[in-house]
Amino acid sequence: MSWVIEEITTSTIGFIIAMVILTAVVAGGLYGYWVYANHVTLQNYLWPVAEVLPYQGEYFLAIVNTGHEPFTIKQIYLKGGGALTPSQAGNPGLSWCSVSNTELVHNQWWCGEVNQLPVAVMVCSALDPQVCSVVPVHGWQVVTFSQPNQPSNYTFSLSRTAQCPPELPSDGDSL
Amino acid sequence: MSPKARARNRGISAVFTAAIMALAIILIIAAIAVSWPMIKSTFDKNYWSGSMGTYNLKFTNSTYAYAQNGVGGQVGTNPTPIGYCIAYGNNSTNATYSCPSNTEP
Repeated sequence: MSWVIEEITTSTIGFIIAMVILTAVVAGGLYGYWVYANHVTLQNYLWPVAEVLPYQGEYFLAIVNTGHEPFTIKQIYLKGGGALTPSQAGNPGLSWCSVSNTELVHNQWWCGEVNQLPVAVMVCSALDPQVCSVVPVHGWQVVTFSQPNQPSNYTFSLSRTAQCPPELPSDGDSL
Repeated sequence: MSPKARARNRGISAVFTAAIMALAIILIIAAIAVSWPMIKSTFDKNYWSGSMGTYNLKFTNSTYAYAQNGVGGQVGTNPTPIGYCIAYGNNSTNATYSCPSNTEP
């Protein structure tokens, strides 16, 4: 029996078998790498931005697609450890954003109201639902103005001081 | 081993080397071709992350603000998008906004 194996492994047939195995391994490896590279490429072009504002005693969450790859929102992760689906969020009733969980294309917004602070959202590509990305939610800032409809002292104090005649009191004094 | 058998083995060895080299070249070219879109997408993502990291709002007054790319908008009493930021105010002394450059809440 051993001479049969030796004959196969050392003869031309053995050589052909070796070539077939080698080609299959290389092709399989390349295919796996191609699948992985496609996955990463799709993931790299998911460009969602999620922002939260405190609003009417709850949290107003808005998500925009700043890229060109459409995506759907899968989960909203809350600070308390829970997770919501987009359909479980409240409807703020605004016309500029979608509240349904349809896919978001370039520059489209989704918004909803949640009663716990959202900290991250998971979005999945509309082209391949297996490709997902978790992004943090951006928080808010409050800017105050010394009087209604006037520029903020904090934001513009340097440029305004430079433009004002020196004898006028600066807005900083009124604070 | 007979001289004939030795000659046959040398032939197989030469073909084997040629086949391995051909496979290696195909592998390298295919790996570059497959990797290139992924590498480009990584650069694009880094560029996007960098631009979002500095994206902010500038308020001209409590009811109007400009986003990073020059898009301006009214700040209403309901949340409104201005560029990629969202903002609302009380039409008087304060405004609340969130932008892509803000940190996590």
